[in-house]
Amino acid sequence: MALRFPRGIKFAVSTEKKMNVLLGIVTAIFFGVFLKLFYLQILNYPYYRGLSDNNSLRLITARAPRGIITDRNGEILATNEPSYSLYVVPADLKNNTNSLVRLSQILDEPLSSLELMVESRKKRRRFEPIRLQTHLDEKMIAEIEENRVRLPGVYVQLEPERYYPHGELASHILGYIGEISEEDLTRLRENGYSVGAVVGKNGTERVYDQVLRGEDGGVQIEVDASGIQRRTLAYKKPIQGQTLQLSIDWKIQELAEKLMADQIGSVVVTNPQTGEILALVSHPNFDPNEFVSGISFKDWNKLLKDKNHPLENRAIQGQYPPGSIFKLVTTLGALEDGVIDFNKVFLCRGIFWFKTWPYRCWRTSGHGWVNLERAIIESCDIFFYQLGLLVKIDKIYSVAKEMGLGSKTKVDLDHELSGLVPNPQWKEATQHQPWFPGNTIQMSIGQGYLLTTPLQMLDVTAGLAMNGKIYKPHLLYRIVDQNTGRTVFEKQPEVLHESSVDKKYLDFIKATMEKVINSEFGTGKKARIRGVRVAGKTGTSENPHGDNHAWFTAFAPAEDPKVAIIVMVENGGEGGIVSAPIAKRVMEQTLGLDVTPWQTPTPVVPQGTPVLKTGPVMGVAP
Amino acid sequence: MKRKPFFQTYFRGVDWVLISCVLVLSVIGFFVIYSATIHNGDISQLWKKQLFWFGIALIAMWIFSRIDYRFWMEASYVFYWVSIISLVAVLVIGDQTNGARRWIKLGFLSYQPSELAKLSVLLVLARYIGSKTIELYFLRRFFLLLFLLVMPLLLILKQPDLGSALLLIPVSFILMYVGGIRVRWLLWVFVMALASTPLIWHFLKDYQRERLEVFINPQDDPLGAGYNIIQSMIAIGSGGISGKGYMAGTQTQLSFIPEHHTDFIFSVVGEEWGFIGCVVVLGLYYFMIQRIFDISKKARDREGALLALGIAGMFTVQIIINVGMTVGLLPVTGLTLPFISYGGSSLMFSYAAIGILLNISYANRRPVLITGKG
Repeated sequence: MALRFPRGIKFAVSTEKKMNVLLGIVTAIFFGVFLKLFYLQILNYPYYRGLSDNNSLRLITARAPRGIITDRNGEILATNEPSYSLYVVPADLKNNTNSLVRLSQILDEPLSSLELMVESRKKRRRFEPIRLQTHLDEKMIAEIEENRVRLPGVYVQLEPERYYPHGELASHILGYIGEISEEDLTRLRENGYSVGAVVGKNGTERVYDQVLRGEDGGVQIEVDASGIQRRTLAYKKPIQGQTLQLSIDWKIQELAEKLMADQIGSVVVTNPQTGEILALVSHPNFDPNEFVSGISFKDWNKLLKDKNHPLENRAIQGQYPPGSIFKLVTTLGALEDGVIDFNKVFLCRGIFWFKTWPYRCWRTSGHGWVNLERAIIESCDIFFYQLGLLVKIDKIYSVAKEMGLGSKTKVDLDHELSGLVPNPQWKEATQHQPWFPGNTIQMSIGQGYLLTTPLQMLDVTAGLAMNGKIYKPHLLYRIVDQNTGRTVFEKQPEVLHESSVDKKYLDFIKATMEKVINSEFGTGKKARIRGVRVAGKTGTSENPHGDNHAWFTAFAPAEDPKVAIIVMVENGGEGGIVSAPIAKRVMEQTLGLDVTPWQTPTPVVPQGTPVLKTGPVMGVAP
Repeated sequence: MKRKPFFQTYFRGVDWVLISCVLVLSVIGFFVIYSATIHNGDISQLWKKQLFWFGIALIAMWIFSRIDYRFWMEASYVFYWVSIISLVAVLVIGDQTNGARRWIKLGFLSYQPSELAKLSVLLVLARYIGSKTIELYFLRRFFLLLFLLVMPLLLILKQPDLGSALLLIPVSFILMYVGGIRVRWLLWVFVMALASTPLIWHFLKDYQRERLEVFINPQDDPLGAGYNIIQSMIAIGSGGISGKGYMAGTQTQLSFIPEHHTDFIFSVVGEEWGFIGCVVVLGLYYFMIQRIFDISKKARDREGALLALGIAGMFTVQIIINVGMTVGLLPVTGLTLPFISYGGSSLMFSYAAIGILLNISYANRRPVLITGKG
């Protein structure tokens, strides 16, 4: 009797008795559980057996409408439309092979393809409904309703379907949606994603999927042994996702899309003071509406095999040599390095011999004696070749890295490529060759191994405009709660890189960029806007697969930059002729100026573009 | 003849009945886990882990059975304050999941302070009540006891970890009741707790309120929170007298029951092994509880008796809450079924507790006091 108390103290109830009381309570509770089990498993066995045997509970998901995507002013870019979808529960079809035959007649689909879809799910999750078809028309619905009793396990459900009112426009910003992939499922399972979920596959639809997707509801249905619906047990209302407001300005986007309609390439417009992307065009584009109800194999293949790669977002995935725009970076590197000053002059005779290799200027007659300012304004190549021989590659490399080249811009889009800024270590590691002076010569005019995306080059321009401060480019403006209309989240500007280049060099570059546009011999004359101080740089980059890529970048007004733009036309020819007018129109729209009438640029590449059949390299670069 | 001294050294006085009882439960648990997970892609290999943990747990049991239980009594306040500190720490630096902070990450290990807190409150109460007799008739002693209980309890509720709190309260009251606190006082506390229910409701998290509401009417939300209870009841009910057969439960194999290898494992027993299986499992549990009560009654001192009783209480409450949940008698709380549910730490904890019980029963049978070197 361990729990005995010291002698002389008397307790009302002995400890042993208390423990017996406890044991009694435990016994009573266990007996209660026993009774409940008896009630469930013996008295109500037929009922529960029925529920489980006839597989009589079906759960049909009521899909949540995805959140709406708008531009910064509320223009709707992606919304939802009601559509009827057909669901089947494979387990209930098994007993009635006729229903598939009947369905194939109603839907006018070959029996074999229906069987294939059902068969793929037979082993696991036989009781989970699968969606066979979307966008049923009225005739189909009527026929299914008529045959209600003969079609066990078949359900028609009204669902919200994604709809993109502007079709192909802005398709690379919006992306598209589709059924979740195995890979994403393993990544996202913890966030409540399940098999068959519809998710954003690209663009902002993908990046902000968790904001947009909302919460699915469902209908619980009791069916009888043959799978015919008996009654609805419960309904849970789906909750729509939140509204995503993008920083895009639809007027600018629409204009840029229109100007690029016949071209292959990309236009991106940002506000350099915040990093907000006002327009992002990649052409050719695609129609995201095609993906909504599952894109057909044929259409998918067509998109993939198209030699112009419409699915590629050229603004972040297209990697090109930047051509003469890169001369701005070379200049900064050389000035920082101290190998030249503003007054340095070199002689351009149209051709420059480095040992036995000829390097040519785009202007075959040569520029004569040129100083740094003129070399940028007229984009003299030979000036930069000679400069390239003086300046250390490491200096160009570090300035380029500082401006964000060779690394991702971290824009809120997936699958971004980081481009390439070569240096001797890189060449040693990948090509197993030493770095030759010729490599620096090529790099100093933005050719050679150097690769950049249009958005990266835009970051360079925006960085120059902001005196070395580069804001992270982003598409998100704010997130608004669908129900309350309250702003849940507002994107704040974030500094991505800050350049350490001396302010006086930056001021020189900016002043020179203004002269590129406004001086008599400037290569960017076609981007002049009356009454606005535009600063910019043209680029014509050579590529081995065809005509030159036409680049143009600019910011305006120079005294207080409100807009920065990059235009890149693949195989377009000369930047100053093809791309600059596009940039001019878009900047006018952005700055709210009167719009000058549009003239189709002359597609002819001006004479004098040197094409050297032999020899290692030549420069092409107005 | 040579083996006997070894056996006597390491296994003398072991309560073989209690051990067989929990071993049978573990074996049943292992088979049920195997059935519940083997056809479920992602978790089909869990049975191997369970087997591994089972081995570790047996070693833990043996080690704990070799540690004189009075060591735990001596060290109880140390454990208590360590767990209070870690409960505070988890509120500050814990990992947040589902709006609750319960885990502290220590390198690759995660540690749940409320587990240690449960154990240390048990130890400290057994120590406090066990080392005093007549003083327990002073009201201020009772208030001190309540303070010892309420401090960790509030910290646990803050996380919030409703399951642990639900476990701690009845166990503490059992200890106080048997230990000799006036029943009248315990009733006061009970009445005051009832009166403050609306206040507690106010402090509950949304998902906890939802669970309680759903428990009252599961048909309200059959897709969300009510789904678990409905599916579990269908599984158990459809098992009938002898069950659908091992690995043949449709509710289980088709994953209608959520968490069917942890919280809802009793539904699998009910579906595949039927009424008979359920009664056997409950019978084993009942037998085990009775056996622990026996150990408590025969313990050599008050502290040992109360410690054994506290462990008995902890197992009992856990079993009742878990089974009650699966059959639809109690609301859903994340408590597992000891010895049967999947989970390494739960298994370790249960077997360590059995180890302590073995030591209490062992000490009781020994004629001479152990001095530590024995």
